[in-house]
Amino acid sequence: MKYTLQNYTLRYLLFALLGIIALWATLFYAYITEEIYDNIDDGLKDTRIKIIRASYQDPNVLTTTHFNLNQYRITPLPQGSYSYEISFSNTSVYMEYDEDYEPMRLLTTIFRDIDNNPYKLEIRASTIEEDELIEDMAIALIILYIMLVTSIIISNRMVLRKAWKSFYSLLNQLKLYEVGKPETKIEFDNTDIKEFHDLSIELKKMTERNDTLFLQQKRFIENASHEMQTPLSILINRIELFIEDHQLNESQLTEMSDINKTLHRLNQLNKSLLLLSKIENGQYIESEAVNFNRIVHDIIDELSPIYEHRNIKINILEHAEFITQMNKHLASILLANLIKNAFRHSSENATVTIDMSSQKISIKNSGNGVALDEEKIFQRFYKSTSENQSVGLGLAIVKSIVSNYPYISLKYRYESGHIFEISK
Amino acid sequence: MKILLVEDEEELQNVIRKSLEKQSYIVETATNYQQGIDKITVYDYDCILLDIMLPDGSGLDLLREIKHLKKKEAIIIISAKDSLDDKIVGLDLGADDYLTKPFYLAELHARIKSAVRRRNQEGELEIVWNNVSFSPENRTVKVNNTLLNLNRKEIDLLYYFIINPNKLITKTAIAEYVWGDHADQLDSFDFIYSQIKNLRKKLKEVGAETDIQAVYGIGYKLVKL
Repeated sequence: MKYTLQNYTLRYLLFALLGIIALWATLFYAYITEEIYDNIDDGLKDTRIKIIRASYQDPNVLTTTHFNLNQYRITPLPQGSYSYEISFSNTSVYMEYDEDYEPMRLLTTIFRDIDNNPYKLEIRASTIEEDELIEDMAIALIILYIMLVTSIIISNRMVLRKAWKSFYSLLNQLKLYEVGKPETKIEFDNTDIKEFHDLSIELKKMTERNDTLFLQQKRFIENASHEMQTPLSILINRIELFIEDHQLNESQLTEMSDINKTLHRLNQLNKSLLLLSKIENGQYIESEAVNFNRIVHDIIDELSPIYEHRNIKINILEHAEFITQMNKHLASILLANLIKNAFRHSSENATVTIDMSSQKISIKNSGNGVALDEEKIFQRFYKSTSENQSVGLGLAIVKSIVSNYPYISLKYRYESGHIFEISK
Repeated sequence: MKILLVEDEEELQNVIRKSLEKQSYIVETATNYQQGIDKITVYDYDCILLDIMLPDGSGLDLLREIKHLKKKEAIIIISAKDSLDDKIVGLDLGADDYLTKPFYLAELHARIKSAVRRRNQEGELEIVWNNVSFSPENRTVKVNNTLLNLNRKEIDLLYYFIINPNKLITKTAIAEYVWGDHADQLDSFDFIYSQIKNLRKKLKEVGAETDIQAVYGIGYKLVKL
């Protein structure tokens, strides 16, 4: 599970806030009850002094043995020695008004009247209802929490969105970025935030470095292939002269011929690499409306004699003309490679079917029931068989041509035969 | 016949020169643009083989100069650059042919012959080898005045052999010449075998005093019977 930056920080903030508020509430509650009791107790102590003092002047006071209107009662005690300490306790009293027990603070002490008789004095005062206090506080705190969270979310949204705007813009550019495609290059984003400003500059530098390297590498392949052509020429021509020049015996001639064949292969490899890098370097810019059907017929005319001895049947189904905007030379290479491939991998007496309609062209040859690995067949130098004469670049060239034209696509599938399909 | 070879790569220059001299051409060489200009302005040739990438200039500029001087030489561009643009520009400028390196020497001979023939209207219209006469203009072959019924590829093949008689031509060179871009498949070897078989049969039927001999399975040679 991936969270956006906003939600990620928010998640921690919400938990932290909850903890802080809970801790704060406990402390606040402790302080406030402490203060309230202190206050009530002070009042009770004061009342105690007033009652004792009143009992000295008016002994009737001592007859208040029940909590009536007065919130105190005095109970005579037998003679003895008592501690005169003041103690406080919490109790509850049924209140008619509330029809409920209400919490009371009760002061209990012993005093002696003017005649030195001991009495127990109890004074009570209404105190806070702790459960209600807690409830009220909880409600207030929940409201506070919700308000805090909402305001945090809102400000977070607004501030983050504004602050991270350039970041997301960079991110979107990065998503679209492709090495070596100048139209996707990262634009510098002017922002007041230093980190993003730096990020933008560094990203721009990095992608530019990548592009340069990529271009150099592509050029290198093209240049290397070019440079190899002259030594290849010299070798091929020298062997040609050598074969003519000398009175060679059969085994020597066969040896030279094998070298010649290998050189021929090297030459083909080099030519294919050169073609591939030229396509990728975008050197075939001109494009026109190309009629694929016509090209297919030309290629079949050219190729079918080569494969005549293998008795391969060609079945051309033409429903409509496939016309698309493309470089004509590349279109020929594209179709020739696919058709040649179909011929080469057909067994004797098999059929190659070419199905053409206005939206797609498919080229099908019989297979041995096993589909090819679609991931691998378009890779450079991939060979499905160990047949060592093939260069392994034919389909890589095909793919590279197709990827030059975003409006056409190429797919491989196995359906009682290998099918390569070009579609609009 | 005099040929000027403008090629900066000395080793390649030597090989091409040797091969051309064996065909009894008189070959002069230039290794750069300046030497090329010097020779072109002073001498006349039948054919100029022109490399495009020269150390001190472009072969295309040399071509412009030749055309500017209104010279009549047949011009074949030999270039390491298999570039469609260069090819179009070169041919537009008046080059007769464009050959991409690497090429087979046998193919170079065939191209020189064709270019020179096209250039010289008064030149040989028919190539005669024993009793076989080949008319490149009409693409027809006659043996003792009997017209041979050959298909397109058979005519290409025979032309290649007649231009390079008595010379062992490897299968790869034949495949390259007859099939061009499609020669990268070994399947074409089988095809060449069947085409040559047919061609031999047709030549034999009309009593041609020539035969295409297989040489140890590596290639073929046009010989006098």
